[in-house]
Amino acid sequence: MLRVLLVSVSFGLASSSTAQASARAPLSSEDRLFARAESLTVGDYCRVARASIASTDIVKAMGARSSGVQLSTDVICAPSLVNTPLIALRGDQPATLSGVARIHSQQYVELHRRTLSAMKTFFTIMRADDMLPVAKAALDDTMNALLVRTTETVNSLMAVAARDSALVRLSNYERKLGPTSARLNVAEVFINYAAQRFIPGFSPSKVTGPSPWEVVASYVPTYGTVADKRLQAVSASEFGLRRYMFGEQFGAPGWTGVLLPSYWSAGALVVSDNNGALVWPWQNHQRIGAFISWGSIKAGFVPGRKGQFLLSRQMQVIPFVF
Amino acid sequence: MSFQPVSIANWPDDRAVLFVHGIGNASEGGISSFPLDEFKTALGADAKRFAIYTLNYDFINDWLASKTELAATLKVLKKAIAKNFGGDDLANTIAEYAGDIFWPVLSADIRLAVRDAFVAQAEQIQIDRAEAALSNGDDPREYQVSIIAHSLGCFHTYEMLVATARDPHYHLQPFTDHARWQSVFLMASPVQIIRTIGNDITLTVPQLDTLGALSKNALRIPAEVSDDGTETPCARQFVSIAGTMDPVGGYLLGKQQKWAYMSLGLPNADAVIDPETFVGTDPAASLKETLITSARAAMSGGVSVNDPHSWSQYIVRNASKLREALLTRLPL
Repeated sequence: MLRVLLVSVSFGLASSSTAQASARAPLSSEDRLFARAESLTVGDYCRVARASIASTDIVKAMGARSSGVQLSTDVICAPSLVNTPLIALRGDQPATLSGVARIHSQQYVELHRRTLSAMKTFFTIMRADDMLPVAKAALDDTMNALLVRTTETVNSLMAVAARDSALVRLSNYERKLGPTSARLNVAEVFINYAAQRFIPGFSPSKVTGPSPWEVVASYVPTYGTVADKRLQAVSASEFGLRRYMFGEQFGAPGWTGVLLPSYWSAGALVVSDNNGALVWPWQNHQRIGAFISWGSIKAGFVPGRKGQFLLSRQMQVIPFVF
Repeated sequence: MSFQPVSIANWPDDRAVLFVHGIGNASEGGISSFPLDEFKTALGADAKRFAIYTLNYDFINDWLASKTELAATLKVLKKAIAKNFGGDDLANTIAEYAGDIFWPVLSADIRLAVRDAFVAQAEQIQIDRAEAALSNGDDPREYQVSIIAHSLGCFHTYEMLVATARDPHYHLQPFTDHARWQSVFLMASPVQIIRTIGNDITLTVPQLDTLGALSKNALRIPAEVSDDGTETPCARQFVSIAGTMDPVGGYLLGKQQKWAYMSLGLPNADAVIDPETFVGTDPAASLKETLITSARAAMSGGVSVNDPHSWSQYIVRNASKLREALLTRLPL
């Protein structure tokens, strides 16, 4: 009976356009979830919560936990959110016009947060192993079906948010470590290893993902300059920091990626007065300047030498060496 | 290519299983890297009842391999494995075969990136579970999900379970979020090897506090501890299986190596010792030859016959245990 009710209520509340879409193509889990979360409201959740605490059998079975459910119910049943679709609680989902309007109000964001927290407490207690048979026996089939659907819908919305957070972190790891990231030489590997181990801000975080910072300490024989009216190679040593930019707009392929690359770097540049590829930067008279990169394009300025302005591209001639 | 978790919107029945692969290159082998045929044979007609998910994380290891060169550090750790296994020729072969299990210990980035991929997949399964159940008019709590992990996959599984049981922000806690696994199978787990060797080099391990395997406490079934001290294990059944000829599982030629064998503390954990034998008069020579052949076969995407570490063979030999654990409905 419960099974039949769940099916009928689950799909009966979905919009007709959703029903037509499902006839055309199988819906993904997320499509189904969002459609249901659009059709259910905080008021529905409130009804379930009130029905639960109105049952003496349920309150008795909950024991000391009943106070938590009572407090949660008070928060869930705040009048201002009664007509709010559950999907609007996500905060990042443009569900309805009213939902969007409310999301931009800090007051509502805080209210949504508190409501979600209360729903989580309610879910933890009412959906505990020992409470499942109690709720099934104490509530009528319709209310029990609504209990399952509302609590599981909000729980799945939270799972979607947690999944998306994990995917964003993973995408950021890919940006910092993946094929389009700047390669490290052996010295940089060990310096960055030590930096992660001992310097705050260089370690990855389980909440925010990879650190955007990386230490640069490399020998770069691929700078070029114009001196004595001809293009000449320059070898330099770079010491500085690289910062990865994790926003979605950065690191795209093609020209967009050139304009909005996935990293920039800056630091000190040590260059010999002698131009040429594979010249030791400390040879003869060395000079100190600065470099800055925007993605793979690098520019340097070293005052007092022939060819003060330098240009290069981020690359490794010999993997893991320079 | 960005990682996207596998999603199965319509489950064939009320259960699913997630396969987590180990040492090797599942990126190249794709779905054939997972012992799905053996699983289907083991479960017979009941295999059709399972929605089957697979988790591949090799591509994350490849990121670090191409960005940095940690081979030198790995060599030091391989020497430590060889020393613990006796320091002879066979021990060196074992160390070469199994040394890659240390990648995630040496790099916090890799470790946490794999965890995030695992968490994303686990969340997706929870979402699919709820939708599959609700669309059938059932309660999602009655639908069950299990994990079958092999080799290094056991390490990542253990780490994911420890982290998600402990940390609310993953939204996968077994008590608070009711995200409990039905059964977790760890086949040929190297967690204790990593724990033993890793604890000797803790100064060089980044973010030690994010490693469950190197925790100061003894290895145990990951659990959420409530405010009142009540523990809720991450799974209703936790089964660890080690072959007696499999060094990665903590055995050397039939003898359990205390420093290498993962013990989770009975009676809650179900420890299965899986008898393996070699044909021939010199087991040490057979093991060495098999490991070398297996390593070559793995590199070429093949499978070595008689490999004591073979995931497929673990499934075949433990078919009845799998059936018992995956098909029996445990009380909630």
